[in-house]
Amino acid sequence: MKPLSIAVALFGLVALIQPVKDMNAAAAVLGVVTLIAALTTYRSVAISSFLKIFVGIFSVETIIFGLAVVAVRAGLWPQYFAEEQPPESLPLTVAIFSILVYAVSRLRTVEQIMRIADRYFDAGEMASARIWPFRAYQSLERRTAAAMIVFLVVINQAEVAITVRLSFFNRAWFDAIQQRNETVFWEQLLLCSHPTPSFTWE
Amino acid sequence: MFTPYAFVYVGMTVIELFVQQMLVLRWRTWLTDHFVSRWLNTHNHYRISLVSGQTDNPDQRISEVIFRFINGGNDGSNQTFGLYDFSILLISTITTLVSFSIVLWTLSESFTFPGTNVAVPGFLFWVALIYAAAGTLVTHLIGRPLIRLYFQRQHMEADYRFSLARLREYTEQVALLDGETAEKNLLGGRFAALIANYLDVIYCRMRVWAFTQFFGQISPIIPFVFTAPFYFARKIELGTMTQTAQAFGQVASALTFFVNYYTYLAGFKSVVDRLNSFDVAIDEARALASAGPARIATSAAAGGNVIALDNVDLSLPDGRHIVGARHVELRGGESVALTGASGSGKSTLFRAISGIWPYGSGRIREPGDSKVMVLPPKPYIPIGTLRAAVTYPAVPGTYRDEDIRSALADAHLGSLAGELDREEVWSQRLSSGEQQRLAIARALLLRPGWLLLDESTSAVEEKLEAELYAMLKQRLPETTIISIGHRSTLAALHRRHLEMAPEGDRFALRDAAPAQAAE
Repeated sequence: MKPLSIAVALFGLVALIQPVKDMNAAAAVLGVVTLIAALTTYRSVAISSFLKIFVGIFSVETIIFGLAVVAVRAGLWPQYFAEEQPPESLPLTVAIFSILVYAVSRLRTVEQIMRIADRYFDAGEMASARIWPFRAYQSLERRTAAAMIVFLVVINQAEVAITVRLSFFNRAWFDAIQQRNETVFWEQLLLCSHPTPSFTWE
Repeated sequence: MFTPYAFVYVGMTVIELFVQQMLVLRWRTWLTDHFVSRWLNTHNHYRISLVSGQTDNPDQRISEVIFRFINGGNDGSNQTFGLYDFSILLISTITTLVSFSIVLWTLSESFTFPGTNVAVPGFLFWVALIYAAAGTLVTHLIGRPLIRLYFQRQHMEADYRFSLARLREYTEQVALLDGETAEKNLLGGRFAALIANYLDVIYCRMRVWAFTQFFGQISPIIPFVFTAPFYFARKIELGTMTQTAQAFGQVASALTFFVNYYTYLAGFKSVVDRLNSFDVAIDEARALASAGPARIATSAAAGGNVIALDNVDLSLPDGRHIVGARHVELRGGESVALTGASGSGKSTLFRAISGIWPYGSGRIREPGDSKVMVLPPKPYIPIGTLRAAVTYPAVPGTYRDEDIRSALADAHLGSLAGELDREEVWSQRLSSGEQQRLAIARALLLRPGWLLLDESTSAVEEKLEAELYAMLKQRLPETTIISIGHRSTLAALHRRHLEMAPEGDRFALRDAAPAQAAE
């Protein structure tokens, strides 16, 4: 947890460089929130092992998504992936999640729940685990458990990301239907992406 | 873009389902194992029954509550909430809510009411939020009685099942008393309560159903109604409308999840409380593991083959003293009959000697190199084969079949010798006298150095009792027998006679008057 919190803090400082230079308060929010997340991550050494897994996930994601956003700001994002450009709100959200997990861990009810939950996530026995198609291997039960939690959280997030992405497909597709644009219709359905037209409400 | 993403998405959900089930499986296996060993280790399960009356049904806590803790006991057929749902599903839902809220916000960032200059940034987001919140609130209010009703139903089902199970257990007694009519009335009453509850559930669910159906019909239209003016004014395209509708739906269902979440939290709290109180009770029982009289194992060479009680003072769980033994030495090879009024602490003394009684003080010296076996009045007979019942607690296979058969024959159970592999509920099939003889067969197999018989032949007639004692003396010549009993004939079967002599409001262990022993 300590090395991770230092990494989060370093990233928070990086995220602050540009906004401070530009005197841009809105852009500075990410850096400030990240620094708070660094603090709560540091304090998380003492919290439940089960919740620590979640703090870990969100703090790591803050750094990864945050670096991507900083890259976009600096104009370093590859043109090829322009469509998959991460929104500014992404690292901000996961940083807030990380802080929230820490906050929740202080609740009495949650502490009682974790008293039982941590039994398994502190389990020190060696046990066999197997990831198909690889061979079975021996590992500490708590490592296997934590790995499964991380996997489940990340895959759930990825599923949401895909649903969001598909909703943009949905928009382009129905636009094509409205405009009787057969080419775009099939393109959207099968393979290539197509930039979505911008619009205004005025 | 659709096709590749859709394939990836489906693949991901399949893998997710698998990993989720594996996690639940491993977690449940581990936690069940954890609780079972904590419960059984160092006789904790026995002391829990002494320590606290609060820990009802440890069986249910282990078999059901653990599963409910992890994922609500969800077998896929019903929506329930466990820690899995309270953590990972919560994260997934919040992520959905945030993402689609952002989508809705971005779609209507520069929203202005048609024909005016009134700007409402994030208009669609606000509409979705208010609409879904109102909908879930109404559903929640209509459906609120359901939580109580479901809770009552669990109770009533359990009551009904319990009445039936009890009837099965006491069927002979009920038949002897002609109690069938009373039982019918009782069962009928319990079942009627169950049905009344069921009807309440049905009426309540119908109201909820009517509203959710209505809401479900309206919901898909709402976002279109709000975006229609802009569409017809050619400000937005059809795609924007459909995307709005989709995001709207996602935000609404996420909010519904939170209402459920909140509702189930109360039930989950009781699950956690049940596990926690069980856990605390185990800790209390474990803390008592080293309580009670100190037991000191001495080797035969050092202290001789004796069980010596020095200043032993035993009390009840509530602290009342029941029996004391200043200095009593039970010598190897000298059989002892122990008599005394019921409640004078005879069985408790046996419990203290075998080290499971946590209340009391003093010192008990025991031969470290020979086994002490206690046979209680009602022996425990596991469900399974007769072989397992006779060899318990040794694993089947420890003894040769011919040894088991001859042990049964010596215990006057020769007629059962052919049924070693038969699986049956032997505690129901055998009479209490036969069960006691089965326990004696166990002693013949185990050949303990000391055999403590706590009214172990009380259900056997006196002639057979004498035969059994003669047989034990002959078959187990190295074994010292200490017996508790109420029959006057018992003392004659032993060399020495100890009694629990009343001493104020308690009892003292001492040699019985010679006149009595001679009787």
